[in-house]
Amino acid sequence: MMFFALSKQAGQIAVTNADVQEKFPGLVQEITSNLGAFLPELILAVGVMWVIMADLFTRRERSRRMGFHAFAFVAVALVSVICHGFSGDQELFRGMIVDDGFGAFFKVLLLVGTLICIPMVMMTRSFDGRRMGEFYGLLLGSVLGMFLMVTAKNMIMFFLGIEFASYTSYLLTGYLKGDRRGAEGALKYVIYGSVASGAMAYGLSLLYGLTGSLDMADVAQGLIVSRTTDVTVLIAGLLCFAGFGYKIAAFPMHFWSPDVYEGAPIPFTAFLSVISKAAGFAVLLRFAEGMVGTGNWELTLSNGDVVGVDWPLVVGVISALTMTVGNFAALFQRNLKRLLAYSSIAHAGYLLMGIAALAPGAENAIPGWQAILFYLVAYLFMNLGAFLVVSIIAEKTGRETLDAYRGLGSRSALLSVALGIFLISLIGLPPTGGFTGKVQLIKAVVDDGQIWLALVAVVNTVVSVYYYARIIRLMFLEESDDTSKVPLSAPVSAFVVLMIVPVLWLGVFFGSTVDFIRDLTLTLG
Amino acid sequence: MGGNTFMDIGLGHYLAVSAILFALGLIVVMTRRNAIGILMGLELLLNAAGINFVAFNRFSAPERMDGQIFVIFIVILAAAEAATALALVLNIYHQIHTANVDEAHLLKQ
Amino acid sequence: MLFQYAHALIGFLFGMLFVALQVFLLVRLLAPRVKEPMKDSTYECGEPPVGDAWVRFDMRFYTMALIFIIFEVEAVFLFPWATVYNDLIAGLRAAGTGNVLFPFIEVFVFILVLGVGLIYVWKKGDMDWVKAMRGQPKQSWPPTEGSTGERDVEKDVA
Repeated sequence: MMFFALSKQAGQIAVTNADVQEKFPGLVQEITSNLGAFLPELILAVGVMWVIMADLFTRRERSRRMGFHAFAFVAVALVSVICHGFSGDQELFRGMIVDDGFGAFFKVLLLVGTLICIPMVMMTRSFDGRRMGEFYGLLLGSVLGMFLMVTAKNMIMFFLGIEFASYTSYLLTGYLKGDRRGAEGALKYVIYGSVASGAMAYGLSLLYGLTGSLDMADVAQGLIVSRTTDVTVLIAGLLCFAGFGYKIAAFPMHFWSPDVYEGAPIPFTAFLSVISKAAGFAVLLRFAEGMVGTGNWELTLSNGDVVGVDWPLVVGVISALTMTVGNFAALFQRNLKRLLAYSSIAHAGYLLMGIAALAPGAENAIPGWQAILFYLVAYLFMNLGAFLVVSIIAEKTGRETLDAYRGLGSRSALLSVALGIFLISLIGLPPTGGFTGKVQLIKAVVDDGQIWLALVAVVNTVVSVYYYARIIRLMFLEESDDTSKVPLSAPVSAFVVLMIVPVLWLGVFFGSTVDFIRDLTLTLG
Repeated sequence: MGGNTFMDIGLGHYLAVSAILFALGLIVVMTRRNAIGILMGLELLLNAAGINFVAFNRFSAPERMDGQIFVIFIVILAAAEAATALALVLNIYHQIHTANVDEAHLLKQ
Repeated sequence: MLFQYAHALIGFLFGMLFVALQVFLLVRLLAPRVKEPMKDSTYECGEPPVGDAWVRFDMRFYTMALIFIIFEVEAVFLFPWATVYNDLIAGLRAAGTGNVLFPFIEVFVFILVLGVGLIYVWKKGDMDWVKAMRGQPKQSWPPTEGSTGERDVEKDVA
């Protein structure tokens, strides 16, 4: 209260009662008319409450059925996003969030990923006999938080979204009570995550002080004016990047991710490695795109002087370090879940290349953000597919180590071929979505003139072949003592096949997706 | 404002306090081995940001209340964070009977 | 400007000086000094301490405190709303557009969401000091013969 008392004259407090009386009716109309575009979020919010409440009045043995309820809510939200369309171009709720194609694209991505994760949760036997309503409630809550992240235009909204998504993630990581690895993973997650968000809050406060606004477009605009205070801008930017970087597990903020990925239940590891990361990239992209849009990104003047912070270089260096650290650490892993954790760090590095190449350079160049969006679609299917196979094998054999995959080729043709395709796509070889995606990212960087970064990415890809191909060799070229077939039910087989199709589709018929992404709108004010 | 620099509290004073608070929070987070201690450091980090927001709102952008609203949300988030983190600390305390983060090393680093 | 507050400063300095004097000087001069082992015991009154100084608090305090702090902090949002409520209504009346109940409905939805949390906590039994065991009737407090009044924390939370 002390701070309020400091404003000595009453006139200095911005909102007067007359102001409120005058402005409020217009605000009411605005809020009411904006609710339609906010429908998917409302559906998810109702879903969170419904799943938790319904579970309270359900017997424990039937608690698993909450998965169907959650699935239904996510599916309805997906339909409502698609019906709303991708051509929106307006601000909602006084510039708190925006309704644009970019946001709708990410909403679809998040919901499709969740639709894939929920059946994986229902297949997992370690959840048997537990109350599952809370799990699905937290999962839907996490998606809701990410919705606010990907559409946020005001930094309050964006900070709230990122925190909402984070807190639910902490709890979901430690959901299996009595599982020590999960408990440790959750503890590390909550500590690293909270430090990152504390640092980000401080960074946001500095940005607010520099620009006098919490609106992202205003911040980007305001930073040009305050270019004289370069060091402050760099510190504020880096502190904010701590928050984004931890969400996408980029280099200096990646330490939590292997432990968390290994400790969390497999379906949730899949969720974290793909969906949470996609939301993080959406925020980072919107933030960076705002600075690009106002010309605050490329800082080399015509006479060659560098003014301010050279963000493409900063992001480029972080990108190179992230992919190198991820790939080299993955070389020595025996636990496949942990290996995929390091590999997903490396993939965050590849994706960051797109941010480094954000400023479109040459004619016909692929702007970095379109390459990122395409790669995220491919990454969604290939990584979730890989985790699906890992999850099925862990259910059948109880093991997550590489030994469980020895001779899998003769034990289950479908699973081994599927995992093989997903891994080839993760390496980035044709004819898969991973290949077309990576080519676009590298092309974006080359077009932007950062040849060194493209070279680092290529060298990293060669390194990554070693550990991915080792798994493929284990499956097809080595014999296992255990030659019993792995039984698969028809729905599970269909599920696996459904995951293969988009990976191959994106590798061959990528044109329509690229065109679709090119037409998306990005509203920043 | 202006005139006497000693008694008039200006923006710089608030920023200094918040910077010190932030630094203290970081030191606590880095040196404490007890999870509860680390959580206390986290509160300092968030509150440092809160002081910044209120001070900037008052001195740099008084025409809108953005900064003060942000602080309300920071307070809420801090409470939610404490609740979440304490529940998880309790969870691990049940299993290894200590809240020392160095003891949680089952997952290889 | 400076001298307006001078008396406060002088008072402050005087108080500090006085405390410092008392703590460091007067005590040194006046306090008797006796060296014997009993002086090093915890209470210095012949009562030997029993057990550990680290008292374990009952888990129930933790749950209660947690529930309290969440609901208490949410109330912060009601203050800004309550401050301008009359103006909001007056503004809507004057404009003649929109529902006059809008500000009320808005906050009602907010409270409703909190209410869901309350129902959850209630149904889970975290509001009861003595939580019912699964499949057993609720115990009374204070514990009667044969019951310890302890509740199994791991019980229903899965």
